[in-house]
Amino acid sequence: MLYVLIGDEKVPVPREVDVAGPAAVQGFIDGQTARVAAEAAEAEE
Amino acid sequence: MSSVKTQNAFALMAKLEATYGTAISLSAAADGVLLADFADVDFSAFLNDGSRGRAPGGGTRRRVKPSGRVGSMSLPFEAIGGGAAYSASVVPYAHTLFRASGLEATSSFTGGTEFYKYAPEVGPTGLDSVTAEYYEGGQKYQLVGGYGSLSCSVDGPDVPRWMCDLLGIGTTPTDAALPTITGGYPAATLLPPKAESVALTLGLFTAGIVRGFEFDYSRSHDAARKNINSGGHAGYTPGGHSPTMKITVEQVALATVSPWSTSTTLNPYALKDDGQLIVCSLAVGALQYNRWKIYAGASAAALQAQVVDVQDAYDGPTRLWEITVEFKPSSLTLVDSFQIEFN
Repeated sequence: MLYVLIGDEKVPVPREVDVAGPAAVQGFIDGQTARVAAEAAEAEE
Repeated sequence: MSSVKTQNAFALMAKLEATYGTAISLSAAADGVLLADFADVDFSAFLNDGSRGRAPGGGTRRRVKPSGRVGSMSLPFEAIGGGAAYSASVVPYAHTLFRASGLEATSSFTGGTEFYKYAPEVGPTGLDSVTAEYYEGGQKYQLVGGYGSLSCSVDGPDVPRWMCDLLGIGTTPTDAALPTITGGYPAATLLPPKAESVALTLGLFTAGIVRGFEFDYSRSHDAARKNINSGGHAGYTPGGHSPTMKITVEQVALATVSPWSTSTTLNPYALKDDGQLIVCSLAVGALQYNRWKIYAGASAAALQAQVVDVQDAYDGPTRLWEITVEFKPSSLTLVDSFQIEFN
């Protein structure tokens, strides 16, 4: 299993993303980073 | 006369499988795995060899065809770092074999402190398997559903040699040209860190002259899934693990009080007698993005190693200890007995 730390959150990378290659993994990380940032902004409001 | 097959070149390609035991397509442009030497390949065994016992007139009866070819590859390699800031595309060059060996990877890409850390994983689901193709002597050996275990050793100031013992469902070897690997190998200029400035911490002891070490993950991965509904061989089911590290150090003055070590003294006999949990951390290389360390527990400072054996030894006139430590989980339920960190 591959995990990526987004802030303090340890997020599992879905297997189909993992085996699809680095570009897919980077896309997943970008999406998760945006999600965490949006959640943080929402919590501040 | 047919031309001779030569034993001069080799290549390995491997990739994590999307579905266990289903061959995934490999590409020489992306899936090369650099080995340090020829692999030790054995595709001769079957789960059932087709024997039918004795013939009434003496001798043995004609066999039926064998079932369930076992694919076995012992793959020697070096732990070469990414050589640049770690990212989704820059990974340690041991990444695929580490994961096939039952280590989950955790990555962080915070600028300046990027890392990949590898720790044991036990399932019950989500274990990583590989499809591997090994080329040697003009032939191709392919296995699917490959699970492995890991070991690493070095004796003296050399490049530590890692070994992945891979087992999977073997296919019949075929003639095949050696692929030209254009992706997956490190640049020829990216060299592995040598064990020439190893930083060892054992308890509080940090001033040791380290002669060598042997790490063994000891992951059980040879439980074959025999089947009678499809080909005889459904792969393997990995079991538990019992990681150990044997460290050879020159003897020093014995620490006389608990915790049985200082920065310059060590008492491995008393550590064994007491069964204390201590720090055990060993770092190889110092250059960022091409260094790695292995340690007991979830951090390099965790008290999760136990001395289980101490042997007195010598090298000529120099007294040595061969100290074996086991890496222990921090609780009865966590799977955190050791980590291998590239940063």
